[in-house]
Amino acid sequence: MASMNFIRSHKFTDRLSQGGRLILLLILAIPFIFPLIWLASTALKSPTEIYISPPIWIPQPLRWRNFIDAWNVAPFGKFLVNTMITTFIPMMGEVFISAMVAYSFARVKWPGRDKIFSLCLATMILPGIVTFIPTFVMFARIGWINTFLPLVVPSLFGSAFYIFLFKQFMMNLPMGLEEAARIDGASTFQIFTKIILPLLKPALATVAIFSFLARWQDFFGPMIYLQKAELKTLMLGLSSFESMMSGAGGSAIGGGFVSSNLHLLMAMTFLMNLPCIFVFVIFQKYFIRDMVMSGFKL
Amino acid sequence: MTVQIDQHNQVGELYIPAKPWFGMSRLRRREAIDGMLMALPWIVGFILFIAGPMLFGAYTALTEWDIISSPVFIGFGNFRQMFTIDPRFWQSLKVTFTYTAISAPLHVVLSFVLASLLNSKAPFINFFRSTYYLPSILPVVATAVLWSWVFNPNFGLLNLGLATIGIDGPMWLSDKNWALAAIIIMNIMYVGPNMIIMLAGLQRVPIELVEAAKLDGANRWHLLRYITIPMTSSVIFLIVIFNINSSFQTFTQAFLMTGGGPQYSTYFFMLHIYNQAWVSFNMGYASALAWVMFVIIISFVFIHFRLSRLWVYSDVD
Repeated sequence: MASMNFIRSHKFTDRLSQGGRLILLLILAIPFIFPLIWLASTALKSPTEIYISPPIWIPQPLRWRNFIDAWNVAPFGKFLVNTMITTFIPMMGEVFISAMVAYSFARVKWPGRDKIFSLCLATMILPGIVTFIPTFVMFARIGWINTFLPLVVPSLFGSAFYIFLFKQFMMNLPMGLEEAARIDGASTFQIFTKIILPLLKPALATVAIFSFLARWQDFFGPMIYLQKAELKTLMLGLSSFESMMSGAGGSAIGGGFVSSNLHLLMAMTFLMNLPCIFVFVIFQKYFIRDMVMSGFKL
Repeated sequence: MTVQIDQHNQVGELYIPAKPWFGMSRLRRREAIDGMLMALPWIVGFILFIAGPMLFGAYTALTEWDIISSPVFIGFGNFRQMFTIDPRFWQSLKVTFTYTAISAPLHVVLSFVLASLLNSKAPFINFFRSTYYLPSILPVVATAVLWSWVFNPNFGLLNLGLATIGIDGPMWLSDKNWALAAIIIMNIMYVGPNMIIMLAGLQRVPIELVEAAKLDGANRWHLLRYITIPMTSSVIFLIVIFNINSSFQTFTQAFLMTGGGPQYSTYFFMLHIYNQAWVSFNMGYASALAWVMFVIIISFVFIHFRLSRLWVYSDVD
């Protein structure tokens, strides 16, 4: 009897703590979710609805044309094309070159390999700016400013973090996978493309997603290298849209000013988030499961 | 095929035990060359975009250089200027250190709390995990624009929210006492990856250990203090390193939301480097600043590694 009671009360407190847990999770979720709802709401408002307090959460009517108007504020179509170039070419390079290099580090034996891999790992704590300034000077000298080359070419040499992720993943593939092919006379590169690459699909997807997001969001690199208006990326377009409304030295929308274009700025901000949200929703498992399982075997 | 040709050149008796080795070493040599070729892109990239620029940057740091004319060697002049003359240098260091000192521990605690709450099989857990993670994959530029609006003192979401519970919110980004706090608050949106790493760490805590401790009469505090924290210390260590590294390199948020102001209260170290390099075109001075940042980050990592021996538990497996 006593033990029965014990079990019952244990279950009861468990359920209670489960409820408490959910309530806590709900409260903590407020700052994560409300700004995004606020963004969507502002994006659909008319200019007059924005500066009303208490705030209107569901605008009447929903102004869907804000998105079209915002898109026409600047040549965002052109910016989109530019962003595609600076996103997808580096992404392909980073994914495949990093996978190949990682294969060499993970499963091919050559003298000095582990030392070179340690060097590769060590570069990850190097703050980017240390190499960014001299690289900028170098690219300026060879006339690469106002071209996409500085944003594209370095990625074709692989990236330390992605090499690390791929290597972790490949270490978990069974040993001796390559032996038969090697005895049949296949070259290491053939083994990589024919045997390893097909097994790598989850890791390829994970790295492709990370690379896509990083490139899509990149601000500093494009800002430095793409100074002509017609070369701008979407992120540069969004930031100049904002500073157009704010003037120099910080953000006016964060200050006390009233702006008649805020609904359009928020509509554009919402559009910029949209591809990332899509990628997140569709490939969710790669963010959470695979990043943890393959990347961070601690 | 090559193996067969070699076979004819060998004296039978000696050859038999040597055969696999001879064959293997040939394959091995082939493998080694292929391996090096496959790693070559990264090695070339390392020389072109990391080692080369670092050496060049180290030299530049010892010069005065406006990019257009040729660099003038001035020895440690840039560093002397930094430490003795340049008031923005100390201000930017102060801002960056303050930010890191608050933001990094905040992220450790918050990711620990969130991960503990999410480490359960309760319903809706996946929904919450996605909710907390989602903002961290959104573009920093977009988040900075959105949060500028959230921080609007009169019509922004934050002060409206504070008003409903009877708090008169500050001017946030336009108040020099609150602007840095605002950026720290916004940075909470990026807790997602830390939380996931922490969750992975928590899920590795052996359940038997917890059960055994419970049988021995351990309460929640004991479990946390003597089991959960020690068992996740290697993950905590990793999160601290990540956060120090990224906090020190904060740029975009401050650049877009405050431009370093008001009164340099959010003038991050990266803003100082940016202004020196791309506004004033003092490439020599900017390189020197970049090297200072490098040394600071490296020393932090080094100290942290040293200290970690005292408190990080690792099961050598």
